[in-house]
Amino acid sequence: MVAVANLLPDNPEEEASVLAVLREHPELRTFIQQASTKALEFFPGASIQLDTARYDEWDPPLTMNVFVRDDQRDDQDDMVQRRLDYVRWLRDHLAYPEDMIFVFPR
Amino acid sequence: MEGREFLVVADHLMHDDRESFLRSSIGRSYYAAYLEARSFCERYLGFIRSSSSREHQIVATLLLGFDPSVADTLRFLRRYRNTADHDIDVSDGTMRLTTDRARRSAELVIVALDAHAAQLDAERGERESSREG
Repeated sequence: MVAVANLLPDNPEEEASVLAVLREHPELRTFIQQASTKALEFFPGASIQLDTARYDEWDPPLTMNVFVRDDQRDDQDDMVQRRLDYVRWLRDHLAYPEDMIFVFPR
Repeated sequence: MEGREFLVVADHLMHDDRESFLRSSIGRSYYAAYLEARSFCERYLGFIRSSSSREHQIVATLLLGFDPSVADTLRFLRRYRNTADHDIDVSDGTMRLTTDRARRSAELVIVALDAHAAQLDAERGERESSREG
C-alpha cells in the first residue's frame, strides 16, 4: 500500500495546502492509498503526486496526478485506453469521489 | 460552424515545434471535442445552453451517465488544456506528448459521439416508422 506521505508535493506551501484538504476530508486518505496502489499496477514506474491546483471554480479541491512514463513509440490509442481503463476501475471498485478528488493519469 | 473544424487548426499548430504552438494546439483539440460534446448533449440529452462557463462541467457530467469513456476523455482533455494554458513549467517533451495525446483524444470523442448519434437517429427513425405503420 502506498503511503499518502510519499505523495505530498515537495514545495512546503503546496504540501501544507494538500494536508489541509486531507484534514478536512480524512476519508480521502483511504481512497488515495488504494487508488495510488492500483495506479502502479496499471502504470508500472509511474510517479504520483497530490496537488490542490484548481483551474476552474468547479474543480475538486484535490487532484491525484499519475505521471505515466510514455514515449513517442507508444501507441496513442493504447495510452488513451489504459488511462480510461484505470479510471473505470476506480469508479467500479472504489466509489471514486469525483466531487472531492480528480484522478488524472497524465 | 462545427466544433470538429478546430481539429484542422490543432493539426496546423502541432506541425510547428515551437512550444507556444503546441500549447495552442492542445486548446483547439479540447474545444473541438467540447463543442461537439455540447452539441450532442443539446440534441440528444436535453441540455439547454446557459452561456455559463460551468457548461464545461455540466456537459461532462451529462455524458458521464451516457458514456463514461467519452466523459473521462473530455475531462482529461480539459485538464490537458488547462495545463497547456497555465502551467509554464511543463517540459517541452511532455508538451509534445500531451499535444499528440490531446489531438487523438479529441478525435476519439468525436468518433464516439458520431457513432452514438447515428444509433440514436436510427432508433428514432424506427420508432417513427412503426408509429406511421
